[in-house]
Amino acid sequence: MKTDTIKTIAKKHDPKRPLAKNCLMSFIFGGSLCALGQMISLFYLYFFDFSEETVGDPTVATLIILTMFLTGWGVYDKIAQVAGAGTMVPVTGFGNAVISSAIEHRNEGFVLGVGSNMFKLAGSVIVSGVFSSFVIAIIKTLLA
Amino acid sequence: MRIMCLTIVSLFLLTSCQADTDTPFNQQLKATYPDIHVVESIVTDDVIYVAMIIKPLKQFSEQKIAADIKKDLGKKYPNHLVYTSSDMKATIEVRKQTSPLTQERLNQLISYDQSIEKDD
Amino acid sequence: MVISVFVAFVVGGLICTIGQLIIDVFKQTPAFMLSLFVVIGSVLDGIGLYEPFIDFAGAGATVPITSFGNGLVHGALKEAEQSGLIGVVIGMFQLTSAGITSAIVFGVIGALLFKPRS
Repeated sequence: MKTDTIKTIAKKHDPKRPLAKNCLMSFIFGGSLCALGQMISLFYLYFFDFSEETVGDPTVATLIILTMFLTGWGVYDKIAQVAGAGTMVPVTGFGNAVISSAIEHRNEGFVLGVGSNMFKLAGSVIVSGVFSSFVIAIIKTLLA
Repeated sequence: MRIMCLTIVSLFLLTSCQADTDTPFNQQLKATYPDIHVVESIVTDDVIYVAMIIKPLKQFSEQKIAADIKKDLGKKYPNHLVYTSSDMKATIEVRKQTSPLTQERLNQLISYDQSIEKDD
Repeated sequence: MVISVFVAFVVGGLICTIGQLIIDVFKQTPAFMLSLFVVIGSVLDGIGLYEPFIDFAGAGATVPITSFGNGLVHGALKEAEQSGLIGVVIGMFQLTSAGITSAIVFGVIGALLFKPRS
């Protein structure tokens, strides 16, 4: 009974999230990042030897280099406050998580500080990705 | 704000820049296969290479469309080796091709044909 | 060709909006949402739907974190075709090295170049 009362009180004080505005902002910023990625892809398709299948790799690498500068100058966090998921979902969000942890902990030394703190967020992404891919690939190979 | 408007306007101007008028072969291809948005082709005595960009909404099945067109053209021109590609890179490369086709260049273009099983 | 930029904008925006909905409506943490997206990417490639999705949306499908899951499964399956079941563990990182390597390398370079702000 007590837990029910606590839950109702907690629900009353839940911060109101402006859902429509958040969704619009993530749409605009996330879409713009992907549009920028597409322009970078077209650049690589025109001037380098990548095909449409392989152009994703240099695009991702270029975006992460861009993220390093935006994170280092503090711009990325300001954008992330407005855009929410629009800056988390693209691969730049992954890059920002790794790079900002690296920069923050650099005073603790490179091996202990930077090295062990870099993958706080990225770790869960990589672990779940690799394990689920392992299961899916095994199932698909056994069924084929 | 102004920069955003300038970018959007310049993007629209770029979309209106089409390549020079299509060759008769390209026009015929566009008429026969309505899914094609942009097409560039190279026709020699033994080889037909068609690089295409499929209409945006149909791009989900673009590889299948390119494979079907390849089979169709293979039947129409039995004396030629037919290759097709829906890869944007193929269109870019064929557009750049102004000199006669060498075997090396052809091999590079064939690598963009996704219906061929590659032996690694 | 330029129309691909607009398609990428719309598709990428939609994926990010779905992520925002997961955080706001289902009250989940960002780490959960990102892990879920990677798993979704893996599942979609297992079914064989992610590659046509990349053909359709271009960077709208390769930039979001879902492409990570796709790359992992794709590499694993490619190697499994040649080497059998053990190929799954051999091939997994072959196509995704771009993202992870760049993040690590530029994380270290960033730590060398920039000062912490707090």
